[in-house]
Amino acid sequence: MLVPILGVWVFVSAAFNWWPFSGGALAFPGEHWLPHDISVHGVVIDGLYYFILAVTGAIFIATTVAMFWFLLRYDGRQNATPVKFIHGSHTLEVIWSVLPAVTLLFIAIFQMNAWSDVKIQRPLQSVGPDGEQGTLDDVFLPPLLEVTGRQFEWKIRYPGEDQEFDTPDDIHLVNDLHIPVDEEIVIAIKSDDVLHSFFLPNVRLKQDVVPGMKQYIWFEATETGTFDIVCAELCGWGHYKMKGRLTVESREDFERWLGQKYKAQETNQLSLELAER
Amino acid sequence: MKFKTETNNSCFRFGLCLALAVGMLGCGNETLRFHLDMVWIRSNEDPEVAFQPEQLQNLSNVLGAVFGTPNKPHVLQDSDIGVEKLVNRDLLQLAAGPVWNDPQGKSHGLYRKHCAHCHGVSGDGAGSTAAYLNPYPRDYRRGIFKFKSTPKGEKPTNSDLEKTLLEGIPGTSMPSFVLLPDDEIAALVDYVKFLSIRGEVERNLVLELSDLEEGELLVSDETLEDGKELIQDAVSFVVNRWSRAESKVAIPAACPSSADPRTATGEEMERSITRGYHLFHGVIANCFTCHGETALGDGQLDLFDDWTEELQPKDPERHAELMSLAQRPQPARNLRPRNLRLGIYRGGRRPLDIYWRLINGIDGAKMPQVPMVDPNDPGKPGMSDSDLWDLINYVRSLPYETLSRPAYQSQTDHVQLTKPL
Repeated sequence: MLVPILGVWVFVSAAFNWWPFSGGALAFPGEHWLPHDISVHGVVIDGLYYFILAVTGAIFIATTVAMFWFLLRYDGRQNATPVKFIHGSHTLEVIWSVLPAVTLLFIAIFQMNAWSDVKIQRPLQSVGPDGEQGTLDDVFLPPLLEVTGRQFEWKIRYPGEDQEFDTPDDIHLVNDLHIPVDEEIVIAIKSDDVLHSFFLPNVRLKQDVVPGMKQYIWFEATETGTFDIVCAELCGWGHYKMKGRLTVESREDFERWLGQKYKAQETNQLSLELAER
Repeated sequence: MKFKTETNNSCFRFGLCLALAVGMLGCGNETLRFHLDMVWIRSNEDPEVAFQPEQLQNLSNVLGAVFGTPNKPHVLQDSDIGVEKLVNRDLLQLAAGPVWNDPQGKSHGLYRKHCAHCHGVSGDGAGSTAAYLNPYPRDYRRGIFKFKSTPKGEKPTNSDLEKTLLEGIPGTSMPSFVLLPDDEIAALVDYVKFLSIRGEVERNLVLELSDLEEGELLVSDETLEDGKELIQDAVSFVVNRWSRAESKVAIPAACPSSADPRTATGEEMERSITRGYHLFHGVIANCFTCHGETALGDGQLDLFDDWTEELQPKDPERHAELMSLAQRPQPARNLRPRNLRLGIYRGGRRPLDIYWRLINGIDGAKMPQVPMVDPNDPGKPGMSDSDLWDLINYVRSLPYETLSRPAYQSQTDHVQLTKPL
């Protein structure tokens, strides 16, 4: 009895910001809804999430209420007449098969564009000589950087001035990812060892990192600041410590920071090293 | 009557469980001590006359009096010795003890939060996850650190240890802690130094112990008064070497502009790399002997590092015993010279880091210091400063070298390179 009551209570009080979500001794720390969104596509993802939550929430509450109604209505102490059993109702079965099927089909079709934008249609630099999008000569936007998951850290590599990876001017960093704001950027992600999942909660982006596979993710951040990078796939005993920091900054700040990192990487004098600190 | 007995029984059982739980928690915390270095103790006792348990207990008590416990580390207050100048007591306390957060959200027990599961509570490199890692986590108690700005045999500076914490050690399981706040990094650096000093003092005291008569105690007096001098000597010997680290930093010679990738023309860089290529295969720098003709790290494969050598891998019977004391699974791992074509640099990828690796050697491993020309002894073969930068350029170019470059011709080509090409 207590479980469905608590379940409904948590759901409703969270939605309307009632106790214990509003405050007091049992208040949930911080935000209990989704973390602050800084991405362009996040609004679509959040919309879908809330839509599905509303649909499932309404069904959850309706089923729970119906259950209670039956419990009270057919209480043995109040009803002397014996219960009647029915053996199947074709109409009811059609209703509870078709309704969920239609709902699921609707969600499947409704979310298609969101999925395709986030996971399938990698941004293009140009459509190629034929002037048509979706053909073989499309030129993809090259990755701004490469992230490699490793037990237990995120290795980060920028291609350097020549914009090409695997050259001596690559800039190597760990756990410290910087990107320019208000720009669509592509990141190549790889794994050195096992399955990881590169997760940017504030960007509403999560992608499994599979050993032996190079994958691309893309997004546009609209706000400057520092945000979390976490690993969202149990990757070993140190999974919990696989945290990184995403810094979103203006183009100028980003370029300046990258230049400093390159200079630091080329340090060959002690005095220069001391000056860096 | 029956009812009463049952109540008594369950009360008794509950009480027993409670007592056990409290006992385990309470005693566990109060008596949590740094482990003795049993490998070193076993290696240094006379096989005929083993150390007596009382002697080891006495050693443990002396160390406990000087260095405290993992929950309450103690900094010896003695201005003649100067431990307090090396490690800050407040920072030490921040890093020590169990993991908890104070109401302001500040983390305590940093060492056990971030380090102990690999490096062990005593810094013995035998934490609970250690056996699964390759390479094994470092045992600080020998006081040997690989990646530092000071020459072989010297201690690392604070910034060397900081750098290792901030950047991690690529190619090993040591991760980067770049996101920790500065004071937490400083606390961990101090705690690692503390564990290392404690471990080395323990080793020196064990040597003292092995000079004593059978069953004789290191310090017989409970108040440690009669052992004061012994302890002071043992601690200050170690502390002095830590204190002088800063003055031992190798200051690199200026890099000629024709060998500096930021200023040199493409042609100049190519010439520098070619000179480095010949130096790599020359008999003075002698890199190819260990790192291999192709720099894949396959030149020699049957040496052991200093930590493993202490486990006497050449003496199978002894080795098995010491390995189990060190909590290492068998067989012992041999030392692999670095594969220079991977572009993974454990001690850092900056030219400065590679300069330090070459000029300082790598402590604990077999990487020697490169021989440099001696102005006082012109006959002695050695490398000049600019040779060193050429070699660094070659090493840094190895991950990008084209496959079509032919291998160095033959052993007879390993000539002494005296003139620049």
